[in-house]
Amino acid sequence: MSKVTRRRFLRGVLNGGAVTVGLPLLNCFLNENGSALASGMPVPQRFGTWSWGLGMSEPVFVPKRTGRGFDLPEEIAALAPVQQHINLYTNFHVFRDDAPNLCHHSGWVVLRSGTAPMSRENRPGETLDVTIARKLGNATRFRSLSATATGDVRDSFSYEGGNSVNAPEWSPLRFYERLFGAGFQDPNAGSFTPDPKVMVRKSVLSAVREDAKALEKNLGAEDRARLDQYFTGLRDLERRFDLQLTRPEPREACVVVDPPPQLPAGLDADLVSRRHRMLGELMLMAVACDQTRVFNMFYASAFSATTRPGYDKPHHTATHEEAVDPALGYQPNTSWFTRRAMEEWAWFVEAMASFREGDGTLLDNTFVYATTDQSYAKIHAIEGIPMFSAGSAGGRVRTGLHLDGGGTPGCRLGLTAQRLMGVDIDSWGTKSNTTASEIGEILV
Amino acid sequence: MRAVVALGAALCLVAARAAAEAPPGNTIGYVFTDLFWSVYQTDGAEECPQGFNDGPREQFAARFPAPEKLSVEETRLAMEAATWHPSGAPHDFAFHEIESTYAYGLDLDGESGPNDFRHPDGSPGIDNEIYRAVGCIIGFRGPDGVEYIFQSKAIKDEAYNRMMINLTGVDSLENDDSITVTVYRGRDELLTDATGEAIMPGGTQRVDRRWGESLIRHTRGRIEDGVLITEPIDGLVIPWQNLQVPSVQRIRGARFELRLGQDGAEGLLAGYADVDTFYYQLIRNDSTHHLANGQISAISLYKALRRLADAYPDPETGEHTAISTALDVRMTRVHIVDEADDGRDDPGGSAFPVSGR
Repeated sequence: MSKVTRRRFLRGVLNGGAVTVGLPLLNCFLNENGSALASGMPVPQRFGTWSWGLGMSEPVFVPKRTGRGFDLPEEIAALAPVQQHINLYTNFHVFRDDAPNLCHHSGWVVLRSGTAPMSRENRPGETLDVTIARKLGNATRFRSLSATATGDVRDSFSYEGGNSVNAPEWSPLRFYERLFGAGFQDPNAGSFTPDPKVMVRKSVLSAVREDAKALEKNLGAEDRARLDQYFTGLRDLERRFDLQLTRPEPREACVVVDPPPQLPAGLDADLVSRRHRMLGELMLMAVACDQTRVFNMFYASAFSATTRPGYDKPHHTATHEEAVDPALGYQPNTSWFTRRAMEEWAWFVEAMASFREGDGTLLDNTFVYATTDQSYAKIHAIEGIPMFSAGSAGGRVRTGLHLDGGGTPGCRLGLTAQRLMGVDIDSWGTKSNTTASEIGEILV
Repeated sequence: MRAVVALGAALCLVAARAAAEAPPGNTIGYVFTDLFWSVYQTDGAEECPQGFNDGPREQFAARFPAPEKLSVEETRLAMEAATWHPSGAPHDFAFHEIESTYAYGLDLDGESGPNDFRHPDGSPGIDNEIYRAVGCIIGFRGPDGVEYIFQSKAIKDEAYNRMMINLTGVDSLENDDSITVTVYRGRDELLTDATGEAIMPGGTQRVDRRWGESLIRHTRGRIEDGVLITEPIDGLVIPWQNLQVPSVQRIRGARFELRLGQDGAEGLLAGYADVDTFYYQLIRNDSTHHLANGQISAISLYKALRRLADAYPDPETGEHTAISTALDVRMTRVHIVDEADDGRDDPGGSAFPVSGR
């Protein structure tokens, strides 16, 4: 083990900018327990979100039993293969206080930002993935990545501020090119050659920065503040250039896949599923290759227009127009759409669990936070809005549980997620969504 | 057990005394929190034995079995045109009216005729022809009809449609043979609990003197056994906002019958709705998408409204222009503040309360 490590180090020093190491990726890059990289760095923690649209049919979604080994009613029966990896949270509330109930908007905004929006254009604060990305995302090429299976670039539950939505990748081929095209450094490649163009750009950037710093002494306070803002941007660029000029740590699960085919536009459920899985595989490979440690996967939008072959109403329309079947006690076609969403959620979790990483899987080192926009979409209800999590965040989270929130704020899960990812906050949310109470039952 | 009974009796006595006492300044204000067309409904079998009415989607499918062979102009746009330029003339689609003898509402004309309903409590002479028209349309029925949901939601979400009543000269909330009732438009959000659903008493509402001046109405009323009964107001205009589209309803001969309480009031607002205003409010607020959600064929409904209209005949044509109706109304007590006494907002003037608490 030490021999392998030393060879890599020596070559790097001798060759300066161009390092060549002829080694395959082996478990020996990890420590004896497989719980840390051989360099002593812990296996990185990752955070992700997953989104589905239009809530649930409560009678066939919410399990009767809480705790471990909870029952899986028919609408979530597809989760059986991954039940041990997930937690289901029901009877948690989002509070809107004096804010209106904005259809298909208030629910997801509260769960992602902690604040009830006052208007449809209003996106208060920033979403928690952005907060977490500031913590986790500085050592990777992309601070965070987002992708949507809807094929619509407008579909995103991630924003930095009211006018700054993190646009998702919507085309598998475009996403592939962004991830594995120019700028990608394969962490498991036998050779590592820093891109000369990046070196030139960094050198130019450094010179510019030096010039700018020289100016600083002669500027007033306001201009110095502007210059500081400018430096912040430069530092971020430099950080990214540094990353591209540094040989990345090998990643066991990272395999550069072939480019995906181009998919037609459309929202047929089968097509959405294909797009979700193609984008999902790319996203998970980006995480496995340590291109990012924060990701957002979007299966369906709040106004989900996914269609079912042979049925004339898209998902959102069905939630409002379809009558509740008195015998079944729910809307059968609407439930069909939710079942498809649960199949995709199960696929995503299972896919994460299939990436080997040390003595565990990628999922073991990740915490995924899954939310929707309504509880009962037919009447735009948001009380009791369901949530999921997946993954054990490096063994710090218990999984396989169904938790009844007892009407407490749904923001408790967002707070728990942020603390797990190292965000140092006492509480999260505003007004009645404010909470300082983690969901302790899931913490080891 | 005896102690519990004694305590209960004492509380009832306290409540009765509170109702019998005059509110501070002999004034009390309430803000509308729920307002929707009153629909007496069972599971549908009693009042709609023919079933519920078809909406635009069903009528489109029946009218155009092969729409792909026709142009958009001949199909979708033709139906939109018929919606926006309605006609009272009969058409081919069956329309199911209410067949039950029961309805909520008031006896507006003091007569008991063959078209009148009977109140579920047995009172005859109930005038409510809007109910006859909309009662078998899913969108107007609770608990999840699209009109029912959105209208209740809109009052909580918007401030445009803020309406309130102020009662002055009140000696007792239990019995008072003469009080003044003023209808105002308010300017403020409702005071809610954390869920945003429950409206809490004790909030403050400022009178809208700028845009709401023309909506102010005065009438007289009396309180009998805790129920306010007002005299008719001719030309009550109610701001009505739904799905972010501002609109109004015009109710002629409008009167309230409300059970009054210390924290709120509940009952009926009844009168004669202007047919065209009712209809255009509906289609302005609801696109065909929302009408389809509630299986509301605007085209068919307009014909029914024209057919069933029962008041205020047009002097030239003799055709009735208004239709009897009743709306379920719930109100929560508020402190109503009129910011200026000269009819305009005046930052330099002295604010004074209109209602006490």
